[in-house]
Amino acid sequence: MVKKTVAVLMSVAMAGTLLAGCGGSSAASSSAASATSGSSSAEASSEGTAASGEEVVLKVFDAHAYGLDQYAEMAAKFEEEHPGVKIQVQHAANDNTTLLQSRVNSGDIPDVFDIESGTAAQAYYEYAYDWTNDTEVLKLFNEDAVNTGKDADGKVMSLPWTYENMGLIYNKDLFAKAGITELPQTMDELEAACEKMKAVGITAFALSAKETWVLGQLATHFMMDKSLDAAGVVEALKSGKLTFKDMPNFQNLFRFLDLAVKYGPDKPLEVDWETCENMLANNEAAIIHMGDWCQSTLDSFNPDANLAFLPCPVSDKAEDATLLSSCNWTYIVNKDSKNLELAKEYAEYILSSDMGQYWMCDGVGAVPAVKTDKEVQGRLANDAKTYVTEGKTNGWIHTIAPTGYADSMGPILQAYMTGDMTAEEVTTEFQNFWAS
Amino acid sequence: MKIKGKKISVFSVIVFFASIFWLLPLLLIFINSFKPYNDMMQHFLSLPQTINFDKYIETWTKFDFPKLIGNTLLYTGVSVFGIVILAPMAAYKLARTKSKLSGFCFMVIIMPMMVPFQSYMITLTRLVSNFKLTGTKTGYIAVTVGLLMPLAVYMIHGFIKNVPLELEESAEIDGAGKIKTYFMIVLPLLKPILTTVVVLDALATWNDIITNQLIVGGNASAMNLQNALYMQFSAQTSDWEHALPGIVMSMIPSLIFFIVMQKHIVGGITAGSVKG
Amino acid sequence: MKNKKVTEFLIFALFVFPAVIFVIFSTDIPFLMNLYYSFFDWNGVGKSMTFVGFDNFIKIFTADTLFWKGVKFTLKFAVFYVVIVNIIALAIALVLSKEKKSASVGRAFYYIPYIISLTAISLIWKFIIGPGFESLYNITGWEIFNWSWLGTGKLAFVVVVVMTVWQNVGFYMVNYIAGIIAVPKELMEAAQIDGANKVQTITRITIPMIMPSISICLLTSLTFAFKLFDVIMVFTKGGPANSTVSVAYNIYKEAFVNSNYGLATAKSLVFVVFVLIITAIQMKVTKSKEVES
Repeated sequence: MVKKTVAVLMSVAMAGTLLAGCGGSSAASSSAASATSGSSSAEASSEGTAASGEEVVLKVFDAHAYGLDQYAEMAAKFEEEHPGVKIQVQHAANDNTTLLQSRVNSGDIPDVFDIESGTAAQAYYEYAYDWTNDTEVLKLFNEDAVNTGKDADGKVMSLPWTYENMGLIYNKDLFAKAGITELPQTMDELEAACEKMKAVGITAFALSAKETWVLGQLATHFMMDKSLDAAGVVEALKSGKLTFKDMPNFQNLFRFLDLAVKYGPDKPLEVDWETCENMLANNEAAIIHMGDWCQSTLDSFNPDANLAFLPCPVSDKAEDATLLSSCNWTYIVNKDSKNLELAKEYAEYILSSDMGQYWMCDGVGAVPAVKTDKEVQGRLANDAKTYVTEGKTNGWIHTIAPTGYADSMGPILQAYMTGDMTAEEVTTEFQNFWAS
Repeated sequence: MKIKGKKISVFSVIVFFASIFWLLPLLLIFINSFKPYNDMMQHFLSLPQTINFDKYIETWTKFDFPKLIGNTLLYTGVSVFGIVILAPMAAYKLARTKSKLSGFCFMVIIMPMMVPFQSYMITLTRLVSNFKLTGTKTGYIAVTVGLLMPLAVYMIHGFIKNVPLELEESAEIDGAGKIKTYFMIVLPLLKPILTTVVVLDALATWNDIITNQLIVGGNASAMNLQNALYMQFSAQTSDWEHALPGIVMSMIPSLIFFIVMQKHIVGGITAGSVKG
Repeated sequence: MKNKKVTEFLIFALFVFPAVIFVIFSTDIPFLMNLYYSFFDWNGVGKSMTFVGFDNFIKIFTADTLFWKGVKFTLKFAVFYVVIVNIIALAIALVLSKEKKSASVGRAFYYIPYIISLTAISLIWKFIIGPGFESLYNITGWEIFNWSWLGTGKLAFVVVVVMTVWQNVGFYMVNYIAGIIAVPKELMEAAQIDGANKVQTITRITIPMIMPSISICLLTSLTFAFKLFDVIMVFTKGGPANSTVSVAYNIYKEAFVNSNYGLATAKSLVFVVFVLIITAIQMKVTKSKEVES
């Protein structure tokens, strides 16, 4: 009896030591890393890298799933230049907001992390280091880009990553095949172009209507005209000066969706982002709504696809057709970081150094927010540059709209496309969403 | 008799043929793991043009598979070990004790089965960090054991209710103590259900993504297999060219494991026939 | 006498408490910690929260149409899922609970979807419903293959049910097999000697004997259905037009997309109470059946 009891206790204890054992041998853990003072050294050294016992671990959270190889190169270079420093990155592309939120909540705040600028970033600004007085650093970036990282009081709480541009993307070969020589700039011209393509058997649209975020982004084109910029529209909507009913172009959104259904694939709501990009690159559809972030995917489908941006027609005025351009991702340095100076240096390094530019221009293929002459890889990004210089761009509304904008309004637009809601009901829903 | 026998076999034939529909995904994943991304999107259902293992090798090295498999094996092994030790003990005692405390403990264990994980995962990570376990393998295993426990206890509990009491009583008359009775008499009887629990929990741990992300998220060296593969996906990019070979490679161990273990589930016939 | 009670308690504690501690740590406490937030207006990130009393609960019952739509969807899903998955799993288990090679292979087949990661599963289904159905339509000409299965709310519901049943049937199959093989052979033989045919042995002997397995499978399928999340998150994303938003998905979105953490926790609380009531009823019913047998 006693023997058995002992045996049981032993086995329980064994399970316990097993658990503890693997904890001990576990790598430089995040929690240990956060406690860089003291206890971490033992665990960090068991990792085997630079077993000096004075290793500093910089915790980084990065929300991008592309350009990972270049990122690794860049981080390695930084470690090389800073002996004893280890960069520990969590690449969390999917569910990035969830994971970031859980890390912040559990007190395991990364030293450097990125988030979408605007409403999403605002929530994290109370943890952010204030860059306002670091003019030397801020000077490195374009001014409009720096503005995307400002809080309500105009303080610079985060640093911009790259410019991202979105609008319609079209297949030049298909346009040529249909005999379209002039790019459509008004709603009527767009419809005429669709008709021309239909006549020669081309599917004009592959709008990714399965993705609520695509529909949400698309809708923002129709909230603006050249008289009001993105921030102005959001301001006016919040204060009630502007309503969706009075918006000059908003009803054209429904005309656009009708065109997308009429001249699109048979099952429009089943088109996800992957399908629509695949159709465009393989000459199966002529127009999609996307941004230059899809360059790498388009290239992997068909590197020879002849694609370019098409400013989105929203009215009967050619000058209203624009691309929407913004610095979407923004990097925050945790102001309570145990290694604040190092964290600042790293943020500056990835966003402005040569290696950082290599990551952004070659790895990601986007135009960096930092002032640079470096050649950019992405063709769409280069294409967008010309529209930026011509002033045919507007800002992003969906990132500075109330939280949950795309997730709330996207399904409503889907309901319009399936015929379950009328244009009027959808307009009211938009108004209600903004008012609440 | 013959006609009746035939009826059943027609039914069996249907079941066997239907199983092909369940096999389909494995075939499709395997076929597509050899295709470039564009081919996959364009001709998902057709055979690959060439069969070469370049992407497999690339995936193996790029993701550091040996390390990932090592981690995942450790997690699976230790978690399942913990469950197999603790769950039947608790289930047995709870099934055989009729008291308020017993009922309460059972409720405490069962309650989580009703609660969506998404509703408490933030507070869970906060609790884990209070114990300074964020990013550690220990923390991850402890949470995994806790999350798997309710179902395991519930299943074994249901099974034990069916084991006749007389066996234990006669053992006790023979002078065996409570603990001896458990190990000598009860535990062997539980073999079929324990094997089932092992299979279910091992595969659950092997395939876990979300818990691993939340608990060890920031610590790349403690990542498990599925989590590392899942990292390659975002709302706007998917790296299927590496993900599919990775999925195939990660499935092979779990498939072999299942095939081996299921023999024991069915082999439990002998163990089960002790009673009755 | 008192001494005996103490020993008994100690043995009880030794057997039960370790398991309880693990569960309390990873689920019960985090869930109870959550209750606190349901009385606050909190974005889930910031350092400050505002106490709002019962406002979140009032909002749920008065203004949150999407939540109730999710409740309706989840209940409807639960009914279909529980019935279909259990019938199919039981049928498969009855055929495959033999010690034959072929049965062993068959079991592995049915189990495969359960062990493949969901990202891959949704990739496959996307193509089965897309190009797969298209070529089937071209061959057969049946309209059913030409419907927009993911673009219509009602059909998307069917897809979710079929997909989850297909994916999880192996789990319940294993449970049923474990129950079936525990049925004493002598009982079956005795019944057959008495002249019972196969169907009668199944309905009169096997099914009553595996009542514990049935109640396990019913409860696990019911709780799975109530917690339905993964397929929605990865595959339908709640669409089209919010027609496949489940409660767990709605709670998740409320917490992490709309940044209303307090409201989300209040929702989960309301829902858990709801689920507890339903499962309590279900357990009562199956328990009474178990006693009867």
